Amino acid sequence: MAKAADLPLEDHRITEIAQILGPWLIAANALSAKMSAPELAQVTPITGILQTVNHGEVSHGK
Amino acid sequence: MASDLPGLTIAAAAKLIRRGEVSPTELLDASLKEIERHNSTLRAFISVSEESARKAASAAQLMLSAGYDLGPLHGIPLGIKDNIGIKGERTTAGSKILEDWRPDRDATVISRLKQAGALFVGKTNMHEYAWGGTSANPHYGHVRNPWDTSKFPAGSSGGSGVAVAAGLCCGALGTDTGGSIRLPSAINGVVGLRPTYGRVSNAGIIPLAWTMDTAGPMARTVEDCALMFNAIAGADPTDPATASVPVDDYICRLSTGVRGLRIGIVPSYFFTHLQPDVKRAVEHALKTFEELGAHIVEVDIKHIEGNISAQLTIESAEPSAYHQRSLRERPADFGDDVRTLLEVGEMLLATHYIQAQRYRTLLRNEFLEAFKSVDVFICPTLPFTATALGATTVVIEGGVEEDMLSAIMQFTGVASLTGLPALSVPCGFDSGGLPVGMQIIGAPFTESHLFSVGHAFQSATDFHTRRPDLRVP
Repeated sequence: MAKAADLPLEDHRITEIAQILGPWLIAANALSAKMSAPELAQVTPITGILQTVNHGEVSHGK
Repeated sequence: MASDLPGLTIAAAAKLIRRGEVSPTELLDASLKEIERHNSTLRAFISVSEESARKAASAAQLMLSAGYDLGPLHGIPLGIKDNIGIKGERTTAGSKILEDWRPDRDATVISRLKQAGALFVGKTNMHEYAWGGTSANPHYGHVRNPWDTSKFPAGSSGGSGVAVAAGLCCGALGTDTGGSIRLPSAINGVVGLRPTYGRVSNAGIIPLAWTMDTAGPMARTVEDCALMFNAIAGADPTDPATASVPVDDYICRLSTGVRGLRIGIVPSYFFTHLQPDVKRAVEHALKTFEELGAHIVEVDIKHIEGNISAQLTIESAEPSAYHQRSLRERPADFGDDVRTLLEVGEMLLATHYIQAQRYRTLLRNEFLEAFKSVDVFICPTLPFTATALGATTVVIEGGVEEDMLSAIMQFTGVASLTGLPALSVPCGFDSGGLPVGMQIIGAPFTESHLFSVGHAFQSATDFHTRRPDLRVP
């Protein structure tokens, strides 16, 4: 994964990362499975583009 | 008189200033003296801004003499977390990488506090780049808990919490992504507000995770937090994430009381897996609210499990994006723990991140629905009291060691993910004399309401009046 991210890592770093990443990935995969339930199919990410400004009419040429 | 000054609340100091019984310079001198006495032990400040603070104090005094009164923060010395930019002042964010950085403009919260007449006594120590909850800083020293200097102060705004608790300044600004204002507030026995996401500008603040970052006040009383919040809340054109919702006067409804208040509790989540002393203190606080006329309502939040994973995923991925270049060019300049967390954040999948963002919608909608039947939620701020300095694990129950980062965000992650405001208020002490905090969570933009609930509790109890014994050997 580090290679895919173009992140150079020394061997000893991999052990340190794995200790944290292992349990986090298990939990993240469980959350992904939960969010893949059909009854949640309409739930969208909380982050989105807020259209707070009305830019008015868009000119389509003369 | 001078030796008592640093222990004053903002409200009390403001009254003395108005009556001419103390000047901003005297107040600043007292604060600087306390910092000089205790900072080598507590490590609450990274930088002390004596010269600029003295100039500001003199100016504040001149203005008062000429009849210009900017309000209750006029001449009040505050500490500022070191990820918040002050023009010309060193702003490191607790990092080696930014050790010499001096911003060329003020963060919006700083501009607003300046307009309100506040003085900035220095920049407070913190967990490096705010990415951690212990304030064990490898570059500027581990911040220590004033109640027991062998214990941690929590974080990431550990220096701000300690500075206020120890009376080194009258109030402080912190930032809160996953709990970084509320955790050190609870652990050090002070009050701290995580505002509604979008209520306070993040412009000029070094980010941790953009979609959850907030800035807020930390002080000895709810009233002091409200005074500071009056100055910093509001929309800001330079931060598009701020909301155009009108601000309240956060002081005028402070004494509303809690008669008839519906307090939601989630026993299956917020009152399981926590230390007995913490549970006892928060349950006792709930009884106090009942005696004041509030009602307790049990609520089931069906999807609350999963919040820690969502929190860790988002709080990992976003900082890893922000620090991507530094991690490749200067990896050895990060502290070990933060470097590892930034590397971990690069290993999570885009799908993990998106599912976590979808989970936030689910959890927020569930809380918004629950606010139709309750006015606030109350729960412990965190499940344990201060643990040993430098510890990376914690025992909550059954002698089982748990990872500190996951354990410390057990109860704070909910407000962070949902964008709801949450106020941490001292509500007792454990058997070792260490503070316990409770969290009052409200609907969006109901900070006034949170302040009135917290103030009612502080009017009926004295936990906030107790101070750590700071003897210099």
